[in-house]
Order: sequence, then C-alpha cells, then structure tokens
Amino acid sequence: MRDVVFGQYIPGKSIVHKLDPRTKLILLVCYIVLIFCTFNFYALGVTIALAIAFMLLSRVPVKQYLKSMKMMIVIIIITSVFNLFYGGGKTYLTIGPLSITEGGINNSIFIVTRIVCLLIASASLTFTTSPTDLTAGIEMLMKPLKVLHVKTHEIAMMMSIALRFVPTLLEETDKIMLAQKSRGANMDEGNIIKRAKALIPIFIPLFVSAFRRAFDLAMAMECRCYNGGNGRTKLNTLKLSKRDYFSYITFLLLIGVIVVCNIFLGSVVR
Amino acid sequence: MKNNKIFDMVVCALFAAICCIFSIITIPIGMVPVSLGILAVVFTAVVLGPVKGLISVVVYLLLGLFLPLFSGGQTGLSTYANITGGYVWSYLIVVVVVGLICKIPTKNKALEIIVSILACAVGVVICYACGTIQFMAITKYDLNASLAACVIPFLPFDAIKCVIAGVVGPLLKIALRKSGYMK
Repeated sequence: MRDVVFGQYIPGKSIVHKLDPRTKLILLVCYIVLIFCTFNFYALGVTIALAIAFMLLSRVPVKQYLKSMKMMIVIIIITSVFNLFYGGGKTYLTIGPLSITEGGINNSIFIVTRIVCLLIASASLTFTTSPTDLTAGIEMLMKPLKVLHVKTHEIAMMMSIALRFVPTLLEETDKIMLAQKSRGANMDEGNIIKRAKALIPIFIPLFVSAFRRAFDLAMAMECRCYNGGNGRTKLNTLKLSKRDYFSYITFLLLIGVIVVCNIFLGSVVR
Repeated sequence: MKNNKIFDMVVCALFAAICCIFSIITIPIGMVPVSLGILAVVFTAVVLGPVKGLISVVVYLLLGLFLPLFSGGQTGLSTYANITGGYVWSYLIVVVVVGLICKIPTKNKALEIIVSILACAVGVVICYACGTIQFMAITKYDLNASLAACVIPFLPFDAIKCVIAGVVGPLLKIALRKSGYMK
C-alpha cells in the first residue's frame, strides 16, 4: 500500500505551471462544455488543436499523458466499436443484423475524440498544479456560494486535512497488518469468506485509531485558536497576472471560432 | 468537547481520505475493473449518517477534480463529464439515501446489520441508475446495451461490497461508541 503514488503533480516552470489555479480550473470547465458543443469536423479540429496546445505548453513529456490514458483505452475501444452500428446515413458494410453507416462512423470519431481531449485537458491541469494550490483555487472559486450559506473555507480545510490523512492512514494500515500477522492472523489463505473475516481485525482498529487521530487533531487545532473561516488570514495568497488575462482573452476568441463553425458549417452528429 | 464542530470537520475529512484510499484500489477481474469506491461511499453513509456523510463525499468528489482517484487512475473534471461519470456524481445521492435508511431505529445488533445491508443495496441501485443514464446520454446506446456494458458484469462484486459495508459499518459504530468518539 505504501507504493501508491498519490497526486500527479510534476514540478516545472512552463507557461501552464505559472498560471493561477483559478484560471486553469475555469478554463477547464469551459473546455469541457465546449467539447460537448462541437457538432462538425471543423469545430472538432479547433477543439483538438486546443488540447494539443495544452499538452505542449505544459512541457510535460507526452509519454506521461499517454500513461494517464492507458486505463481508458479499453472503454474507448468498446464504446467506439459499438457506436459504429448506431446512426443513419449511407451504409458501407453489413454484418448480419448490424450495419456500419456514415452516421455510425461519425459518432465513433466524435466519441473517441471527445474522450481523449477531455483526458488531455484535465491531465494538463493535474500535472501542472499542486494539490495545495488547487485546494486554494477551489476555495476561492467557491466564494460566491457563501451567499447560499455554504461554508467554503471549511470545505477547503477539509480537503487539505483529507490530503494529509491519506498517507497517515496508509502507514497505519501497514502497521496494523504487520501487528495482526505477528499474532498469527492469516490473510492470504482460505476462501473468500475467510479472507473477508480476516480483514475485520484490520479495519476496526484502523478506523478507531483514525478517530483517535481525528480527535487529537481537532483538539490541537482548537488549542491554536482555530475557530472556522471568520477572521482568517492566508499565508499564501493567489493573484491574477497578465498571463491569466491573456489566457482568458485567447480562450474567448477560440470559443467564438467554434461557435461560428457550428452555426455556419452544419452538423454531422446529433 | 468530543462533539464540537472542529471534531466533526476533521472526521468528515478523515472519511473523505478513506474514500480516496478505497477508490485507488482497483481489482481487475477479467475485463471487469472492480473499484472499491462505492464500497467506501456506502460505508461512510452507514457510519456518519446523511449529513456528515454528504459533506465527506462532497470533499471527496472535490479532491477527485485533481487526484487520480477513479477507476484506473482517472482524474480531473473530465471524469465527471465522461461516459462513466454518472456513477461518480451519483455518490452524492447514494450517501444521503443510505444514511437516511440507516437512521431507522433497530432493537438489536443483527437487525441493525440487516438494515445496513439493505440500505447499501438501495445505494448501489441508485448509483447504477444515474451511471447508466449518463452513459446512454453520451454514447447514444440504448438501455439494453448500456446495462450489458455497465451493470450486469458488476452485479456480483457490488453485492459482495454491500455485505461487507453493511456488516463492518455497524460493528465500527459499536466500537466507536465504546471508545466514546460517537454518541
């Protein structure tokens, strides 16, 4: 369990690394909406160009992106194959009750391209922004929700604490497993039911000790005069720079291009 | 002191971390990648109840925006917008429903466990429904094709998860009450 690689942040100094995390989050959300609003090959081309730009500007090796897509390949293949058989238009090939049509081919191309572009765009975000920065960015983006009485600071605090708890829980799991093994517990033998039963002396003490840690942490925070978001200041503050404004403008222009493509050049998928 | 606001906040963060850890674990059995994410979510609902459980899952899903938490290491906003994203954001509904069902008073330990298992089963069904709807919307499959691809292969494994979460959850609550961390 200790070998689990948590987080995908790759330190660097590229243009994308230096952008404010709020900018990256906003642009990513816009891009996702954009992907599902492309209906012809010209708009799709612009979308693909954008994804490639994200990838190259981040200066993260392409190999890294391919690795993050590896697990999705099976789903992509299955989905694209099935989509070949749905859709209208000219029929190219008939296999028994199924037929490959122009509409089906178009659907497949669009589905696969959309999924791949999604993965590239979100990977470029996670590769270039540290979890701490992202937590801070999300907290600031959630500020409008305060009008709805959502406690944005507390949510961000819980995210930070959760991030810190993960390695702690993994360590604790290791210790408890070793301790139970030294008492004669067998976790690798027997049928499924026996193995499941063997996990109970692992999980119960793990969670109880985790609660003890939670209690200790809450006590320590209270002793340090933490009492919620009101009146809090920040050690590190986020500031927008010229790069961020430039990114917004560029993205707006590209959105305009895609919208124009959709309106004037017709649709090939529904 | 043990019931104060900061402790509740830390406990929610703790269970969000637990969900993160369970989600990372994927057991590939043949072509079916069995993830433990739903197990962690229904377990959180059983132990924390609907309100704190919902907060935990919100934190967990927010972390999923930038951590490789979902099956096969998927990460980012694209996970929620992808063909399998419906199974993920449905956790919000699952945790509330399961938590509410587990609030039903029971007279003894065995009955409490049975209620928990049934609640987890309801949660999994809701997850399937939301996930399949989104899958159909994005891929244009019909209902039968979607079910064949996304639900039927996972049924036996999810049944096992329901039993595990339904049994361990109440046991943990009992242990926590003895330790004084839960009322």
